[in-house]
Amino acid sequence: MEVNRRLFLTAGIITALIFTSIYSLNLILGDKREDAILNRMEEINEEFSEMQTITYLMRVYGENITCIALREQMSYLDEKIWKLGEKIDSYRKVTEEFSSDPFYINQKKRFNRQEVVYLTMMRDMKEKCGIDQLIVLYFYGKCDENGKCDEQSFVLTYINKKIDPEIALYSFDTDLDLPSIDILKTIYNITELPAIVVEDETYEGFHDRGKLEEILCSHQNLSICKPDKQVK
Amino acid sequence: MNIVYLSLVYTVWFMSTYFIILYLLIFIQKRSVFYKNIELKEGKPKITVILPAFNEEDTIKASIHSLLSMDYPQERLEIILVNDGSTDRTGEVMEEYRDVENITVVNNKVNQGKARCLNKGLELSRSRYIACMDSDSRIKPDAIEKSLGFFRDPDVGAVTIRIDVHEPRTLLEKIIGVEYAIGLSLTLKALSYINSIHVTPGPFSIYRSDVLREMGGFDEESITEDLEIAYRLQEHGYRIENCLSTRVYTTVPRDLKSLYNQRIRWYSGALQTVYKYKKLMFNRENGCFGMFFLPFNYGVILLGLILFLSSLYMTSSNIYTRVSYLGFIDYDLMSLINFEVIDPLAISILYLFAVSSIGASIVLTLVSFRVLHKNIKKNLTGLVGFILFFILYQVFWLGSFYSVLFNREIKWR
Repeated sequence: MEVNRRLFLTAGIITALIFTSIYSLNLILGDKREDAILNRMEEINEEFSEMQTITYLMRVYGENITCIALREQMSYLDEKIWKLGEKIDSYRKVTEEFSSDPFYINQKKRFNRQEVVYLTMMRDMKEKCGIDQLIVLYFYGKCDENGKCDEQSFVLTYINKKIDPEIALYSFDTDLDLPSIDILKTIYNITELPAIVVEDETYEGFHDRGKLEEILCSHQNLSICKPDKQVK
Repeated sequence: MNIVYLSLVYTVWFMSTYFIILYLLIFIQKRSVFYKNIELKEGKPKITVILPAFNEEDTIKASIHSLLSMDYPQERLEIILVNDGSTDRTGEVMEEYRDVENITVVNNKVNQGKARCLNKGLELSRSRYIACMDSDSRIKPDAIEKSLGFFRDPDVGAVTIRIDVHEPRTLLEKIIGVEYAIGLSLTLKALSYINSIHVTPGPFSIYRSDVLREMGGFDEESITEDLEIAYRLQEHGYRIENCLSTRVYTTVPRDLKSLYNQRIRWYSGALQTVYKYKKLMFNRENGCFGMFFLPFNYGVILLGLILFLSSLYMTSSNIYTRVSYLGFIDYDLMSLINFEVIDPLAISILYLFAVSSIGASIVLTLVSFRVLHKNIKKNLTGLVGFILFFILYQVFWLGSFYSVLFNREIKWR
């Protein structure tokens, strides 16, 4: 029995060691995920600073030259921000499988704030530099049972992939309790989720591909618009 | 993610990995004595082999011949052939051997079941040892000689031997060949060192006849009498040993339907037996068998099944959700094709646990092959199939739980 006891104990120790190794590996991966998010966030911050600098230049030297630089900067940043949003969500998902991590909540808040800043810049530039991207705002959160926020995100991701350079899509998580997002909600009179705002016009509830394309095409001629649905 | 689900993953992972490590440690510690043979003090004691058969006209002859070709002196070997109401030529084949001096033929007019046949043989036998053999099996000539030595220890009530599949040809036979070599041979050998053998397999096992009589023979109500008798031996404090240096060859189901029926009988029988002997669970008097094997083994099976079902539910509901979402984009599948490189940082800890479990199972299988001197290259298809077989095990267990819980009739064949 003594031999057996030692055998059982050894097996237990080895199993615990393997478990600890996997746990530690996951912790290392967790740190790497955080680093990756922070690095991307940092890159975007750099881009923002650059854009802000260009905006100041515009005020002093006029719009002609600065608009060209700004337009390039914005389309580059647009894609980067969208990818960062996706990364935060996917990393948050795998991290939360092990433990709930406030890091991702904070980063999500930071990301949403940046989107608000980016939106205001975009609106400003659209007018001054004649940028023809269609501005689409998407408000989501924990929808009610029939709210279909996940479904709406799926359709919007699909549309965004299809006509990425033609629209500038900003998604806002209303569950983060950010005052800036609450202000936007008030401005656009949003009472129900999911909600989409296209060029200051609010559309509440779920919209599938067909309906969404119809809404977008009623505001601007896009590559996805059928000839009979185009804005005259 | 649900904390209950995660706890289930960790528990099942921990328990199954613990089992694998324990087996590997036993293999390492005992590898030098795995094939050790023991001489029996009493020379060549008399032994009776009972061979019950029901509609086995194709295989019974080979089984009898393997017994008549034993190295063991035929005058010390008694063979009792029991025709259990066969409707084919099994009875006629048995009658051909009636004149052989050491063979007795018993004819049941109607089918009475294997356990009753074995008990009938036990009644007729006057030998010190009783061997039970399946009529679709054939043993190596040295099987009795090598396994009887284990009875030198007076606490040993039964001895099992290595089981191999007879000439495996189809993929299924090859997979079952690997399963038998590991599950019914090497695992039993490892379990013998912690006195936790839980089955005396039907193809060939030897018992002390006075022990069988003392315990009242085989349970005629059980659908897995070879499992039930092992639990009873454990309950009565007898050891069960395993002899790896000899073997019995047996035939196995050739198609999935027959395999399903066989496993439903085996696993349902296991559940009924565990329920019957529930008092052994966590019983210190039954040593490792009661304190470790029963709770651990059936704990892993039950929790593993729950994990399998919940994972299946989650995966299928995920797939259903994704497919239903496609309707919102008019099933534009081309747009979903993504050529982005997989991000290693997005790998979940669940995958790490899954990969480590699969890795541990592969290591155990490879080590088992080495210990059993089996050629990996020759058995590669069976080996790969065996690793993927775990999904089928869940289906068998699920069917068995259903059968037992809802009192479904389980046929012996």
